[in-house]
This record gives sequence, structure tokens and C-alpha cells, in this order.
Amino acid sequence: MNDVVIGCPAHIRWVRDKTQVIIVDEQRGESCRLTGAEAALWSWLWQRHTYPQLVQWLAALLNTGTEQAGAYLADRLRNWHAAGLIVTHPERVDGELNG
Amino acid sequence: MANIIVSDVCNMACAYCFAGPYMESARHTEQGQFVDLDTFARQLDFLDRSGINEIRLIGGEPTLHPHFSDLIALARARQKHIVVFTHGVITERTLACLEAIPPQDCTVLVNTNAVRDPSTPGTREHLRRRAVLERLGQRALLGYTIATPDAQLDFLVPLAVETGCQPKIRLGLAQRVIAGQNTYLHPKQYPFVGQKIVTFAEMAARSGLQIELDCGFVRCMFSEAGLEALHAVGTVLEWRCSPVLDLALDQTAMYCFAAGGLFSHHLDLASSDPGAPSAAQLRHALAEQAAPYRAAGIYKECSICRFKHTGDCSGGCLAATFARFQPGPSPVLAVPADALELEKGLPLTPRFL
Repeated sequence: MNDVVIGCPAHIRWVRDKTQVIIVDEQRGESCRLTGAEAALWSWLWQRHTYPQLVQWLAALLNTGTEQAGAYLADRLRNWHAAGLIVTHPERVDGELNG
Repeated sequence: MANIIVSDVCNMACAYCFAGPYMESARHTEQGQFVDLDTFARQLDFLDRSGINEIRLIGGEPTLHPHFSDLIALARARQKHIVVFTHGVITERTLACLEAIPPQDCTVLVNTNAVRDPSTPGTREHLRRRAVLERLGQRALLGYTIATPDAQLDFLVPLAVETGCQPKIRLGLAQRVIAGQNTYLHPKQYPFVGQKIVTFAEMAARSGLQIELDCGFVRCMFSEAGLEALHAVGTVLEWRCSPVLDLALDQTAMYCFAAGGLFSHHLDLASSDPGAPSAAQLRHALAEQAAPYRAAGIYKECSICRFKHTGDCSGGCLAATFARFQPGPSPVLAVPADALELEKGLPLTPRFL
């Protein structure tokens, strides 16, 4: 199966604070906060790491195996996608982005 | 409170100017450089129906309006208390116009560090400003915008005392303008400046002068001992950032100049609709527009600060807060499609964040 490219919609802006990430959805006029592992993951997401790297780091952060970390990552991505914080791009990549 | 922008031009060139980007963008529109008298009359109507008894004239430099005295006359006819924000290097004619207003009906807020050329702070400007202040007397209130940590404030005390101005000095922080590239005081520099303000306030108090802080100050830029000292000398302390409501020539109501490019509403002054928004309703709408960003502040610590949580401190300037936010880049990550389960047709479960 091909990879899907994800990114942030243009109306999402965010900031990393002392203990949390604050995300503003300018379209809805709402903000939300992420804390703990979610906040760390959100920050890592935009640093152009690869998906396998994120899984490994999450495993270290959560002190779990890579399978659980992978499930955690997929779960967070699904929720953020559902909440409109991330979007998928129609183009598919075959190794051109993040391996 | 609402500020009326009556002039889109200024003959100073302050590096920290909040209005610079606004004036620059206005130059490329078809609107005139000055408010016309009909529009001004409608703005007065707006203030009347909003229950505002004070008119605050800003710019650019408001006194450059070719019919400045007519603006004053129109406002006076409505019994408005007049506030003029000026650099103070004004013509004899304008000065005479302001002198004709009883001191209790007018405040002329004079920005004492406005300069024609930032590289050569002008002695001529200082001399003219001093002469103007002497003539305005109790109508004048000294203001100073702190744009750099090495700002020299001491001259303000003898200037206020010797010219007979109001026994107050209003200090402002040069704030970053979202849409521009002005010189501004970085929040990292606030604690240093805070200590300087404490020393200055104590010095000013010995001459009977009180210090007022403009918007955008934050509580934590002062030490606890510093705050005690400021209270002891009667400093007016407010940690606020709320929509000022700057009414532009194009009938835009802006949050303020610093945040104006992003947070604004169109105001139809010609509307006879009795349901047309009042100033209070516009301010509320602008505050709502900015509310999502208010979860943060100018520092990383603001969002967990108890003073921000209780509303005692706004967390600093909205424009500086907004500047901390970054857009999420896109595209950024290749994700195995099955991780998102997009191709399996499984429902995505929303989760409240």
C-alpha cells in the first residue's frame, strides 16, 4: 500500500508552551491544548522526521514496544485528522518524502 | 473608548511606529489621506450611539489634517472630551486651536520620543516640543514609547515639571506590529526594562509625578519588590491588552494598530440600521476573534500562569502572542495509508481535545 502525505491545513497555527502545545483553528475560531506525549508528538511531527523514527521515539517516551507506539501514533493521527488539525494530500509519494 | 484615525500621514519617522504598516498600506488605496468632515460627523454619531463621551484623535499625525480645527469644532459641538495623540511638533495654528480648549475638556498626549530621523535625534524637535508643552500646560500629558532596553527616561521628569504639564507620565512598550517590521522591544528584554521603570517611577515620584503604564505590560516583568515599590509611589498598573477599537479611514474597526491586520471588522457608518453594532459590541466581537490566541501569552509560561488564569494579567500584547504561533507546514510526513485506515473505509473517531 502507498503512503499518504499529511500536513497542516492553512488555517491551523500552533505554539509550543512550557508544558503544552496550543493549537488554534482559525476557521472555527477555537483553540485546543495538547499535553504530555501528545504535545511531544505534535512537535516532532513538524520536524520532518520519518514515520519509523516517530514510532521509535514514542516507544522510548512511552516506555513501550514499537507495536504499541505505532498504534498510539496511528490513533493520534486519526483523531487529529478527524478534528481537522491535519489533512491528507491527494498526491501519493513513493519514497520521495521522508523515505 | 475608540480611537478615530483622522490622518494617514505623519511627518516623523519613528522606527518603532505601530501605524507605519497601516499608513504604508493606506498609501496604495484610493481613499484619501485624511478623514473627510462628513465621515467624521458619522464617526461622532457612532460614538454618540455607543455612549462614548470622549473622542480620541490618532493617525498618522492627527494634527496634520488640513481641517484639524474643524474636526475639533465638530467634536466640541457634541460636548466630547477631546484626546489628541501627537508628536507635539505642531504648527502655531494647531497649537492655538488646542489652547482654545479649556484644559478640563482636552488631553494632548505628546509622544516625547518621536523623531524625524532615527539616526539623528533632533534637537530642533525637542525645542519645539518643549515650547508647545509650555503653551499647552495642563492639557498636555507626556508619553514615551520604550523601544530599546537602553531607553533614557530621566529627561521626562524635568520636562514635565518645567513645562507645567499634567503630573503624570505615560510609558508604553514598543510592540511588534504583525503586518510590519518595526523596531520593538522583545519580551525577553522586559524584565530589564521593568527594573528601569521601577527606578524611574521612584525618581518621578520625588518630583510629584505619577507613572501610568500603557497596554501590553505584563506583571512578571517586575520583581515582587519592584511591584511593591511601584504601588508605593502610586503607579497606575494594568496588565491589559484589549481591543482599543481603532477606526480607520476605510471604515475598518481594528483591534489596534499592532494586531490590526488580522483582527478587524468592517463598520458601516452610513448604515441607518438601528441594529448596527455599537463600539462595545465591536470590541466584544474583536475580543472573540482574538480569543483562541489568548490561550497563550508572550512567554512560554503564560499559559500556566495563575495571574493569566485569573485574568489579572492578559499575558501581554496580542500581536506579540500571535507572533509566537507558527503555521503547521504542509506537506510534511509520509504516513502508511493503513495507519490512518483511510482506505479501509473505517470511521474516523473524533476526540475532544
